[in-house]
Amino acid sequence: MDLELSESHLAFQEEVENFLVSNWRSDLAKDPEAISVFRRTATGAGYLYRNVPEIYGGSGQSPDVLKAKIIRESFAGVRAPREMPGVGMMMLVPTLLDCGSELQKQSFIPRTLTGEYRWAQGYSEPGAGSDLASLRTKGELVDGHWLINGQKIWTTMAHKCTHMFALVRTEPDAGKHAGISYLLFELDQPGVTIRPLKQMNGDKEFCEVFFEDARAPADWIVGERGEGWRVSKSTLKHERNSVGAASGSKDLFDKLVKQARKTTLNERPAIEDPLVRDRLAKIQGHVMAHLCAGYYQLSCDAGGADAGIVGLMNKMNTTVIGHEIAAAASEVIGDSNLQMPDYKVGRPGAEKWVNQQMLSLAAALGGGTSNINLNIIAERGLGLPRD
Amino acid sequence: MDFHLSEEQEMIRDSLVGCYSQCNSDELLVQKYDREPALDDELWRAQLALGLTGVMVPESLGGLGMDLLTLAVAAEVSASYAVATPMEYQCLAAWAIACSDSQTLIETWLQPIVLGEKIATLALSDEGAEGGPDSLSTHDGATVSGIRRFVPFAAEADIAVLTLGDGKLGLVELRHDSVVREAVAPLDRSRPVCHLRLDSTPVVIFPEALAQRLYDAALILHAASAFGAAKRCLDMSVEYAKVREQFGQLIGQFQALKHQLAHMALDTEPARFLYWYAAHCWDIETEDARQMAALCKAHLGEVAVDTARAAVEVHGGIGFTWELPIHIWLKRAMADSAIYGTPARQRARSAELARW
Repeated sequence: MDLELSESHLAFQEEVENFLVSNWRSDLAKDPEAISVFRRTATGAGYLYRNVPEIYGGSGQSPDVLKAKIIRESFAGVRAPREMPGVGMMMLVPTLLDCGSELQKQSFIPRTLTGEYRWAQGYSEPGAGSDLASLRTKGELVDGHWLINGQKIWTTMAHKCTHMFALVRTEPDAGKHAGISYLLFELDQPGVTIRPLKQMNGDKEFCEVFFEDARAPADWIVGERGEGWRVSKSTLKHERNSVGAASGSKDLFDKLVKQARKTTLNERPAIEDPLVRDRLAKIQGHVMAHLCAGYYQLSCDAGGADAGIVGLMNKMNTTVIGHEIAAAASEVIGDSNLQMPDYKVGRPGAEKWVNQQMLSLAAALGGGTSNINLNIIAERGLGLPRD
Repeated sequence: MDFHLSEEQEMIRDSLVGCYSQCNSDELLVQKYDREPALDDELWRAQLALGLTGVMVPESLGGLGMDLLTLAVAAEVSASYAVATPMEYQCLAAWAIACSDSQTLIETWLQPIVLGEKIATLALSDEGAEGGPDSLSTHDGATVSGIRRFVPFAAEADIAVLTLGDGKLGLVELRHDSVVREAVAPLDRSRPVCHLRLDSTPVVIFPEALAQRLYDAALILHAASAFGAAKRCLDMSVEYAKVREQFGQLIGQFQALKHQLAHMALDTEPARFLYWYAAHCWDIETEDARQMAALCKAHLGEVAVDTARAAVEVHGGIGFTWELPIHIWLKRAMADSAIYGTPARQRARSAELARW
C-alpha cells in the first residue's frame, strides 16, 4: 500500500501546474472568449477531453485515472475551466464514441466539446419514471424524417439547450425494451414546446418538453432501430460514475465543519457543543469510509481491475451522506432554518444550508432513485434473485 | 498510488482462511462454544506454526518485519472465524517489546513471545495513554498496584503489557504471587476476560513512551476485528436470503429484504477500506494517524453491531437461538465496540484530535 504518487505522476503534476501558471489567470473567468481559448489550449496539451480522439476535437490520451485525478485537482485548485459541463459531454459523447456512426461522431462531438451544441436528456416521461422502458413517446419514419410525438419530463436545462438525445418508441409491435430507439434532434423547431418547472427551492432547472410532429433526419438515430435501450445503457453507466465522487462528499463535510466553527450556539462556537461534535464525527466516519472505498476503486481502475460491489455504491453513499449533512447542518444553523436563501440579493449566510435539505433530495431522485439503486446493489452486487 | 494489499499480505490472509476454515468451521465452532471459554490450543498452535507472532517484529530481531496493516488483515480473518486466541495481543506485545529500547526486555521476553513459549496480553486503560479512573499506579517505578478490568486472555497469559498513564508502558508477570486474576463470565466467549488485581507487583517500565502508539494500534485491530464480524454477518444473511422460502418464493426476492441487505452492505463494505487506511496511517505515522484510529474504531464498532443485529432480524426466529452462530459474531461485535472506549467516546476523542 502506498498512497503517494509515483515519480512519473509527480512530474506530470508539476507539468500541469506549470501549464496553469502560464495559461490561466482568475480574472479570465468572466471572459467567455478567453475561456474557449483556454479550453482549446488545454485540450492541445492533452489535459481535457482525454478519452475523445483528436479527429473529433479531443486530445486522445490513453486512459490514466491518476493523471485524470491530478488534472481535476490541479484545475479545481486554481478554478480553471474544465471540460464543458452537462449531459452532452458526460453522457452523449461517450455513447456516440461507443455506438455512433462515423458521420454522427464527426457532426456532433466537436461541436459538443466547444459548447456550440448543448444537449438535453430526453428519458423520463410522466408515465415512465423508474420503469423507464415503459415510455410511450412515439417516433415514426415518414419521408426520410422521424416524426416525434409525446412528452418528456424532468429534462434538466432543456430551455438552455440546442439539441436533445431521447429514447423514443419506434417499433410499437416489438417488446417493451426492443421497441425503443435512441434519436437525436434539434430543440429549436416548431414541433417542440419547452416549459420550465419551478422546483421546491424556487429554481427552474428542469423542464417539461412536448413534441407535436417534431422532426429529426432519418440518420440521426444512434445504433439500429430497436437498439435504443442497449445504446442508452452505456450512457447511464457514465452518469452513475459522475455522481459518485467521494471527494464531493468530503468537500461538503469540510464546509459544514467550517460553518460549525463560525456559528454561535449557546454563546459558544457550535463546534464546541458535545452533541454537534458527536454528530459531525459520526458523519466523518461515514465520509472517510466512502473516501477510502474511492481510493480503492481508483487503485483498481488504475490497474484495470474490477472494484466489485463498492463500485455500485457510490451514488447511494453520496446520497446518504448528503442527507446526514443536511440534517446535521440544520442543527448547527438553528433558527436560520426559517429563512429561504436568496442568491439574488447577494451571498446568503448560514441559511444557505436550507438549500442542502432540498438539493440532497434531488440527489436521491436523479440518475435512478435510491430505491432502484438499492435493488441494483442487492441484485447485481449481492446476487439476490430478481423480482 | 496503490491502495491494495501486497501479494505477501494476501498470501498471509489466504493461508489463515485455509487454516481456520478447516480447524474452525461453523460446525466445530458451535461445538467448541459450549466449552468453558478458553484459549483454543489447536488454533494457537496453527497460528504459531505460521510464524504470525513476529509479524511486526523487525527482521533484525527475528520477526517478519511487516506492518500493522498486515496484522489488521489477519485480525479481520480471525474475527470472521471467531478464533479464540490472543494472537493480536501477542503480536502487539512483541512489537512493543521490540521497540522498547530496553535490552533487558528484549533479551528476556522477545524470543519466548515470538516462539509462543510465553503468552502475552495487553492490559490497556479505556482512557488510552492518558491514564484515567482505572489507571494503575506505580509509586516507586518498580512495583505497580491497582485494578485493571476486563483483560483479554489474562487467565492463560504469562505476562501483560500495561498502560500506566503519562504515556508509559510496563510489563508484569502474571504468575507472580501478588497478582489476583478474578474470573469474569465473558459476553464474548471467543475472547475470555479477567479482572487483574495487582498489589505491589514487580513491573518493568519501558524506556520508550510507546503507550499512545500501542493504544492506537489496539483500536485499529479491534476495528478490523469488528469488520470481520460485520462481514461474516452480512454474508450469512445474504446466503440465507437465497435459500429460505416463504409465501412460495425465496425471501431474497422481496424488496423489503433486498433493501435491508443492501443497507447492511452499504454500511459494511466501504468500512473495510477505512480500517485499511487507518492502519496505513499508523504505519507511516501521518499527522492524523491518531484521529483516524479513533474514528475508525468508532465507525466500525457501530457498523458491526448494527449489521449483526440486522443479520439476526433477517434470519427470523432461528437468528435468536444459541444453535445458529450469528450470536457469536453479535457478541464479538459488541465486545469490539465497547473495549478501549465505546463509539461515542471515540468520536469525542476524534473531535478533540481533529482540533474541532
